[in-house]
Amino acid sequence: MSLFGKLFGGDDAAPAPVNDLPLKLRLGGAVAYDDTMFKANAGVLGFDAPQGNQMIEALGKVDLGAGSHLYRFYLTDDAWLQVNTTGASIDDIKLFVYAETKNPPTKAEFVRWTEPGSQIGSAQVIFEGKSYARVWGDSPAASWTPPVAYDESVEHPVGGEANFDLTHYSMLYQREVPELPGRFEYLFVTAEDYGPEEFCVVYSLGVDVTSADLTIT
Amino acid sequence: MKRSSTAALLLMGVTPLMLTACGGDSHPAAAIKEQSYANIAYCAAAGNPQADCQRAFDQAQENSNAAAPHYKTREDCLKEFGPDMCQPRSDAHEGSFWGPVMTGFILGRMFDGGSSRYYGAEPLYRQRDGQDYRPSPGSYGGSFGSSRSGTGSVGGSTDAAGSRAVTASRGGFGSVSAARGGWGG
Repeated sequence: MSLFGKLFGGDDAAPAPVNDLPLKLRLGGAVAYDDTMFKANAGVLGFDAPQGNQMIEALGKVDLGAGSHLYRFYLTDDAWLQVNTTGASIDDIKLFVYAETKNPPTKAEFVRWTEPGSQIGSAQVIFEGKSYARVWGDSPAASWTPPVAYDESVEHPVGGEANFDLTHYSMLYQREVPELPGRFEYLFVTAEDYGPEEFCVVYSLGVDVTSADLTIT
Repeated sequence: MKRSSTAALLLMGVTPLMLTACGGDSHPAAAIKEQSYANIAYCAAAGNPQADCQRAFDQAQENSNAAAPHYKTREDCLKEFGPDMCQPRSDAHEGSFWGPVMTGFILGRMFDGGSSRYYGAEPLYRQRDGQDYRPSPGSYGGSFGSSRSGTGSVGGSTDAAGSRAVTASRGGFGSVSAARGGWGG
């Protein structure tokens, strides 16, 4: 029995720490992704899934308003699992793997990534020889639609790296995988703004994931 | 988040060198010019980039519920804006109300040295007397009318934009609602 329990006569069944994270994922925990689909269709997707148990090394949270949140679980091998929730329900789970990072040499060049005519927001993006169509934006016909701006706060396990926040200017793209009808590969392009002197543009490739594909420990 | 902490360290190692080139207080004063247009065609005909006109229109329309004057009844709205100029509207804060139809928009462009760029947009509503009703600056997120005018310097600013590379109004970007349920497939 805990000291607290001894002093106040409580029992050992003290409530566990409140964990409001979806799927019982937790910072410092681990997750393994069942990559059977990747193995059975080698070369069909533009990236490889992370192998084996992946530690959740950082957690990014985005409040999208209207009760909707994004949770990004950053994994050991340059991958991240994104869970999109509304209230207590899970709307969407995706696994993304970092594909390319660009470091604009000046602030002005970085800012141009967020402005009209930027690749972020163009109707389609050719990435590694494959064409991806824009998902967000009101008009599919518009040659450019503004990237979506939002803030993310990133936490690390206690005693780890310092927490920080950043502003994203993002656009989501997708292509239906010809070899796997009905399955989409996603290209997520985001301009990451950490501050007036720190920024980058990140391309990630991803797929839809179900909770059955995940082993969470 | 960045690719990895290794990449972060590399980036941190590189950026201070660039600071001397692009940072500092030598940023020239910038001016924001605002013009009102009835539609995208007039806006483009006035020499603005078509993409900016489209963006301003979209942004104004997106804000046109929250920015519209709120009336409890249709009659109250018609009194100010005239016949056929009122419609049911709603916003997240106050639910349903009557408000005027958007009849135009203001495009803000920042002139900085020799170049100019999109700065923000606001909806306009034509009043019964023919005057444009412009929502008071700051009445909705993304207003560029008040505190952001003046110099383009980012140094010393206390608002969130001052701690970022991008200082444009958040209202000029795509609706975050797209990212709520719109993860594709």
